[in-house]
Amino acid sequence: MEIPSPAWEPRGVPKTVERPDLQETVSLDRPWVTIVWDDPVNLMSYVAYVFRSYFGVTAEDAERLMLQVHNTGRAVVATGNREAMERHVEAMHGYGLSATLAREDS
Amino acid sequence: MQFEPAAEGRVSAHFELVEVGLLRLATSQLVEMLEASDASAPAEAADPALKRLLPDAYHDDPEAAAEFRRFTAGDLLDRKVLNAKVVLATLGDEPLDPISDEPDESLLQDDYDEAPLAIVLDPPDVQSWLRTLTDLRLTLAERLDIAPDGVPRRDSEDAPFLHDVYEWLGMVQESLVYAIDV
Repeated sequence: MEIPSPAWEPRGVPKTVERPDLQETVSLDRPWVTIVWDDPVNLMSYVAYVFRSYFGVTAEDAERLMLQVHNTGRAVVATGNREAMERHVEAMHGYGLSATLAREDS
Repeated sequence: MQFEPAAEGRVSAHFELVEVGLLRLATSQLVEMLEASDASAPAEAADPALKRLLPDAYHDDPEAAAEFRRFTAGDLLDRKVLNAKVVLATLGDEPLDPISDEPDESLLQDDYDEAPLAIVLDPPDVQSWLRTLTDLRLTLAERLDIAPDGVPRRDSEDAPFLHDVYEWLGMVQESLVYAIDV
């Protein structure tokens, strides 16, 4: 499923097929992601509310992210530099959601 | 108990006194637990509930997780305590323990006092409530050993009561989310 990108945080530099020699650089600059994990406690309505109110995504995107967490066990909710992702994770913990950060695709 | 949107971004609900007492009791115990905890070492904390309230920020990097915890756990715990105290403040000055052996005489003598209590929350109160209700449910879920499919595995004498409280807190939270979702 396509993960909606939060509007305020552009995704990393897109990899190009025309310039394969840049792949190594791109890979070294892999951004970090904030991952929210499914748990049996938090209500679906509350999780969608948190995504909507904290990340400022539309109700539709918040619902889609919430369902992705619920159905697949996790969802990437933000992408960016490590410091920004740590702030998001701390905020998610403040809401009581289970969240971690990691290198993208790690 | 059903939260409804009210004027100026507020929400309101009527709580039965027994509900107020229950929420105050649970929230007071949460404050006690949080204040008794050691923010610097929750990873080693014996209480799994506290571990769930302060989860790891890195799954595969214990060192980074420990460092993150060192920088954030204290603030996070402080905010959780503050939120719980906001909830207690909005619940008014009713007796802390309604399940005491001594019935409150004013409740017996004055019919008016038995009427449900009107709870009105402004937007910052709502944020504290949402977070505290979550912390209460996470804590109860640990006590009940809620399985990934949502079924409690604990089979103690008080488990059915705790599970009722857990479900009721969920109802309160859902009602609150719907009331502000306009």
